[in-house]
Amino acid sequence: MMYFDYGLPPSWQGYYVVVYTLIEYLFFSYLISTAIIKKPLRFIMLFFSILFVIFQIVFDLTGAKLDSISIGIETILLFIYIIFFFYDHSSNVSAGYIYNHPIFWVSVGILLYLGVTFFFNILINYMTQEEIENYWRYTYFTEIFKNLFFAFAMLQFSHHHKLNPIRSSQVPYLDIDMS
Amino acid sequence: MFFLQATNPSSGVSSVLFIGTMGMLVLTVGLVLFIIFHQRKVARYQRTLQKMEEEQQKILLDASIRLQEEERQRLAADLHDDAGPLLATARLYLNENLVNQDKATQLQAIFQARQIIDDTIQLVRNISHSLMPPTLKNFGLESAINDVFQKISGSGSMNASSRFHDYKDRLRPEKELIIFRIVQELINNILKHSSSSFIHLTQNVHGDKFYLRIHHDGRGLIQADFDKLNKSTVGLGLKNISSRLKVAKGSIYFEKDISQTYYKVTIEMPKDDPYQ
Repeated sequence: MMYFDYGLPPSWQGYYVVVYTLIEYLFFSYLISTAIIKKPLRFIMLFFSILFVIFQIVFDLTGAKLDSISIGIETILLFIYIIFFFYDHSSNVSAGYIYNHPIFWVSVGILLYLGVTFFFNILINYMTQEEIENYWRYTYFTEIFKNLFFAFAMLQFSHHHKLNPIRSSQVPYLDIDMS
Repeated sequence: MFFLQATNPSSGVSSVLFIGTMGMLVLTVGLVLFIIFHQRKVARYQRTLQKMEEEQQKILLDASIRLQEEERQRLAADLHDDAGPLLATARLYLNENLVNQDKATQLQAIFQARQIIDDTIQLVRNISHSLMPPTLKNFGLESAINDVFQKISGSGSMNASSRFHDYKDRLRPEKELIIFRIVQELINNILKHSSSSFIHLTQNVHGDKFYLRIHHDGRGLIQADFDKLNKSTVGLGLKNISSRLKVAKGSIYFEKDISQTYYKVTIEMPKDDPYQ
């Protein structure tokens, strides 16, 4: 995902930012949630996600240069979810190495991308246009690294063989009818 | 965050930005490195697990060899204790003096010898059938399993039934034999230990997998029990099941039904090319 708003009318840019942040947050948090096994952690994610979506819809249509607070919250929440994922998988040794999991590389990409742009995003309203443009170029490097990690994750996903238990409930007529 | 936003913008946003970004970068790299180093610990743990797995393999192999020896001993005992005396008795009836006997005695001796030889043939046939059931060889897994279930049901001790939903394409004979032996072992265990009132087997195919499921309402095992018994020195039959499954690249899953009224044992096998 690349943030790209050139050519958009200024009145639309505020909405674009809100929608972009929302979609980005939902996409990343969904990806991470698919890899989290422990149910309580997923419930926490769902709870915070609902709060975040409400916050985005209700409070964040002010049309600032960049919705700093929601991006900051998004970053912190995604960092927490990634820590959930790390915790979940590092304590589950039977699942194998964490870096064999495609979501690990997605997480590294997200960490790098959001980590490096975190302070830029929250301070953007206090920066001059020159400073913004100057720093903005550097964010593309993290975007490139993020996309490389994502590409690697996708490659890994195609080779990923999950040890699955017998899901024979899908097999027709295998169970007897006890009713 | 609010603190940072509240700072005076003219007092060097750039330096805050630089320090903050560097801090976040260090945090990110630190977190990733921490996880990777933690994984090294996990790798060590995995190696230990692998070692345990190898030991488990050894136990399975020992069990398999022991079982083979027991089978040979049983076979030797059957031949020595049953077939041997029968043939020796038949030989006694057909000794050299028979020609000097009267016709009635000769006929009587020949009749007795013939009966003993018939018994011996039956005995050898039984031994042969226990080694390789002819129904399985000639008519396939479905008929062989149905045959076993009919015999159990016919004994009147238990309600036994089996149903194959999709077995148009037979598995290869060696795989059929493996499945048959596993089912035999499972049925033996159920008959010996479960005190159940019914036993029901279903079969189906889904995707490229072949499934067999046995249901019974007695005392049973769940996966954790099976795994535990597999690692212990007891439970020779279960180890035998595991080693057979390993050969056929299959898996087995023991569970209690969600209704908690009966147990289910599911065998999953990769479906190979249809055997003609």
